[in-house]
Amino acid sequence: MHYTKWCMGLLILLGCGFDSFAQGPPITADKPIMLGANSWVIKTLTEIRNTNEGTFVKAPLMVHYLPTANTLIGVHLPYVHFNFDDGRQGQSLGDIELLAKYQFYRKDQMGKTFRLVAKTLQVLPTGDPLNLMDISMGTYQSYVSVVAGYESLKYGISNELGYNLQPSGEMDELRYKLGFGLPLTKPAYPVNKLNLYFEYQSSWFTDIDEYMLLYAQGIQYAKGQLTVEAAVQFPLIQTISEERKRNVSVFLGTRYIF
Amino acid sequence: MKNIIVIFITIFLFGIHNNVNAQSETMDKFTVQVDGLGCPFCAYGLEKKFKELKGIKEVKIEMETGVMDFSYPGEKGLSIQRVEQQVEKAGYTPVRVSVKRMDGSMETTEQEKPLDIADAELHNIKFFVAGNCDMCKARIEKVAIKLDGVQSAIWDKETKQLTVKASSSVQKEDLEKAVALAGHDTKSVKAKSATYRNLPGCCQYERVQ
Repeated sequence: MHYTKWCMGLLILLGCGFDSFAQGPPITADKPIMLGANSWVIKTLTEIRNTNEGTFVKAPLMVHYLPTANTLIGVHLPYVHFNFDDGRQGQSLGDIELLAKYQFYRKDQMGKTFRLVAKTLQVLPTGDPLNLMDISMGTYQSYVSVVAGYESLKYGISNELGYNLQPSGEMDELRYKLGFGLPLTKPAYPVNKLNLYFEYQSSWFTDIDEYMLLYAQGIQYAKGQLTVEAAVQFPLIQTISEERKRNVSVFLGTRYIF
Repeated sequence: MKNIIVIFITIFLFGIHNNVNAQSETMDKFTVQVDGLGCPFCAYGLEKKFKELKGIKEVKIEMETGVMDFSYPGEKGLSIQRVEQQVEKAGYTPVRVSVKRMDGSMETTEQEKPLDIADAELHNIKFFVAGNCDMCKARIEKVAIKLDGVQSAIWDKETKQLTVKASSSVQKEDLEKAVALAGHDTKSVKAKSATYRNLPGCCQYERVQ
């Protein structure tokens, strides 16, 4: 059964056509390209999520630093606002995340590159136990993954395969993300580009045997060191408990590199 | 009065021109071919890393060719090795660095592959290869030098001639097939249309009839 779901998900992903691949950093997925030693990135990616339980907002402030050309460390400080349909509402600090990435493989060619990155995200239980995955669980979580990406002036794809562990095991998750985009302007430097994004997230909650395939459509504008982006994410497949079913998520983000 | 103003402006502009010329004569001009620049953000990371070199000026990066040009004060004697290290620190791969020093002398990274045969046993092969730009040059030379027995390969952008120094086991036909496989026509061997179409826009040369 699980195997069928994963195959179905992958078929949809692959069926979208490799001709559309294009280079650029994805919005809800991750990328393997780093910006060189001693660089900083300050990001926000606010998510407004509507589910059968209510509407929730996560607004993180993310600070990433690259001490070397192939390592990245970061911290994500989220603000969370929750509004359950049963009347519970409020705001709080969400689960703080500590991020580390290490690029262990790089193959460069003229105008293109392939890279592999090992990534880990440690989640601290600083948020309320709202049982909202990726927003506020109030438990320790440990996520490990490999991010792979091929970028060229004509083609580009970023994907990530990872596993999320929780002490209770209840929300243990095998996650696969794929992001690809269509540049609406010719790649040029200095940066001035407009991109469309098509991103997928496939989640299998292994312990409770639930599955979810999400699709996000996004747009991104980058000029110089500043990037602004927006995406709408909705479920394609959901075999999860009724109250946790998602309706739609809206993402609004900015990132500044220096 | 009008004439005085014109003379004054002329002298002023002449002074600026001389100043610019004097400045350019004190600068070394670098050209760096970089592999791995797959997006404009990559170029930003590269430029940022080079801006750590105090005194760097006129940084220009061509996305399609992966070529970065910049000027650097000649008295500081920036070495080619240091430039290659800086590209590595930015997270990319340096392919070739050339510099025109302020005294007019040229330096470039070594493009020869060491071979276990004597120079006397090497022979020169020269033939036409279609192409347009620096990106074509890097591609053509790269596929040629990859062949076993090839010591050096230099493609001239103006004359479109590829000059290869190789052992006697290397035949012109082998080289022609190799560059055609990479998308470049020669007079005897044509590249496949699909390979040609996949070349970046700047490399879309006029096909050989």
